[in-house]
Amino acid sequence: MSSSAETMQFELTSKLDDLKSELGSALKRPDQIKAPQGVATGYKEFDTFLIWGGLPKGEISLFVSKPGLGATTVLSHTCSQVTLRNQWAAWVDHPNYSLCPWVLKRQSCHFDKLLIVSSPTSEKQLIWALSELCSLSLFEIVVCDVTGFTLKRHHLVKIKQLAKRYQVAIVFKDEKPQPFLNSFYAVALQFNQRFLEIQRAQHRPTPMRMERRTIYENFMPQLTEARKAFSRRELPRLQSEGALS
Amino acid sequence: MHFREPGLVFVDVGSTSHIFGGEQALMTEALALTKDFYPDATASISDTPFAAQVFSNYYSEYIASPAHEIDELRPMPLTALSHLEGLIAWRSQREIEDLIQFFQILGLNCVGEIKDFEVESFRERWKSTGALLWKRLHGLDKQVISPLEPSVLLEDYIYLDFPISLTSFLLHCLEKSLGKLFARLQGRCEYAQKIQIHLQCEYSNQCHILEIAPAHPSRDLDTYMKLLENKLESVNLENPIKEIEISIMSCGEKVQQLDFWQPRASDDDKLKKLVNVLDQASLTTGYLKLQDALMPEDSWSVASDFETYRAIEDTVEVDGLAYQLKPAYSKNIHHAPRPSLVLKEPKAISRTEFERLQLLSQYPVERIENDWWDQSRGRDYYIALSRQGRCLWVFHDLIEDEYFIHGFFD
Repeated sequence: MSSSAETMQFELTSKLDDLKSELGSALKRPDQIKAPQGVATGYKEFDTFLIWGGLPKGEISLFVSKPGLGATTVLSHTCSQVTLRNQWAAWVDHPNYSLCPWVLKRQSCHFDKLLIVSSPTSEKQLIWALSELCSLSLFEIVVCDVTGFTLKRHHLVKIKQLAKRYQVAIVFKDEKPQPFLNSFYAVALQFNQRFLEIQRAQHRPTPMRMERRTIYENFMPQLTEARKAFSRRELPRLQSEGALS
Repeated sequence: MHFREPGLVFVDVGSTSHIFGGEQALMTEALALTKDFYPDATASISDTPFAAQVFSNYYSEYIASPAHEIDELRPMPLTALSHLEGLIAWRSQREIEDLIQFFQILGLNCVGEIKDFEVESFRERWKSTGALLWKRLHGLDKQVISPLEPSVLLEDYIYLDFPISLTSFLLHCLEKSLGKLFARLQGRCEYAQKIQIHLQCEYSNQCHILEIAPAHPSRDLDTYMKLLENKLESVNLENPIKEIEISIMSCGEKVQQLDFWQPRASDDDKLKKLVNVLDQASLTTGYLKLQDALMPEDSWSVASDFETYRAIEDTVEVDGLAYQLKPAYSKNIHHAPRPSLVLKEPKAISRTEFERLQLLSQYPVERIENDWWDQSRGRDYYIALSRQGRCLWVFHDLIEDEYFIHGFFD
């Protein structure tokens, strides 16, 4: 090592020592840093993975899922949990399908704490409706089905500002992925045929895969029972017919 | 309370002034309130409405000595007679002016000087008006302020000297006028159910009609101004506004007993405001309400007001000695495998598409059949998996033999 490099290293070390002595107790180790508490989904594996222990407040999260792959179950369960804590949740519907309250009833959701809003007709109206919802400083979580809307960067910037200002966890549900806008989302999930893929989660190694069937096991006892009944009834028949090896 | 044009308000304070700390305190408070709307407002308290009107025309604040108001009228100039009206105005101001002029020609200049004439003299010359004037001069015209609610329409009219084509200016004009009307609503203990505003344009008799009918009637000016602002955004103001007519349809206010510690602006109020604003933009907003219905798509609705959930129960109808049990279909629905998303309109699929799906059970998970005389059709519901791994709720229409996707276990 040349003498100039040694000198530089010495200077850096002395500067670092100076900084340490100056800042003292204000410095924290990475494991001591705690992120603000998010809105827990009740899906343990997922909540534990995220730094916030749930969906982050003051940020936008994206759930990409075609209908029938599990996103609504996770989100409706999250909303039910929020209402059970006597906090408020809002749900902006899809133009073609509605959230079924019988599922929420089974989850003991408090309907008086869940506000349903029908689908906006344009991006402008969507942002306006979100700003009205957020500005009440009442909702913990606002779930919004954005399928069919073309959200641009400036739309997302505006919504993100709203979420940050009013500390609301905004969750977008879309059928198509938004690869070019992923950086705007604190959490981005994609529901596939077998897996739930976490494409983006701040301060966490991504992509990360989780089994999708666990969602149904946790949240949909009826389906689990139906599956068991199916196994009880159909498996012996299939085995006897030699269809299963 | 009695209101009479132009801008005269008569209030019977005989039994209520002590609540405000006496007549002086009441008058000061009433004036302070009125001056927010009419800076030149004056007030006076007297035994009779007509004397009070005269005093309020000459003094900004005046309280006549009880039972001595007629004596206090004596030094007033003769022109004061034109204001000696009270609840009932003179039939013709011209007639009174002639009367005043007649006495002035005779060299009489104050009210006290004509008081001593006989009633017959007044009647002979000025007929019923003369007799009425004599009665009022002697405090014999009994005018009773009706305790009934005011019946004057809640309307206002604004004429703009300089036509307006800017939303902010227009809102400013409307706010002032609505403020007055809302103050009247407060006096009546009423809420504004619907506000209709006619904006008359300067050219070609064009008129914009705005209607604001929020889901939750209130008297909150901020809410209505916000609704109005949203409504005005869609109005083309290229043709400037010259005249504005405002009318309010009122309804009784909801009386709520607030706890001492309860915040005055509760979450409910905030939400009602939000529901009103979103509702105006054609966004149905509200709370889920479960109801008993056979068809899944009819088994709930979104209501703007939350109603406490009542468990759906079977009903028993009694007709004489006969009992009829009407089972509620939705009683145990939440135990049934219903999907998380339900399509607003079931989507038809072909038989081939249906056969491509993997059914979770050979038999339907739910069969819906109505009475044979009803129009509704029989449906067999299945849970099915698509090739993409999507979990669907499909049904087989038993009458038409067609297949539909009706929801997703999403």
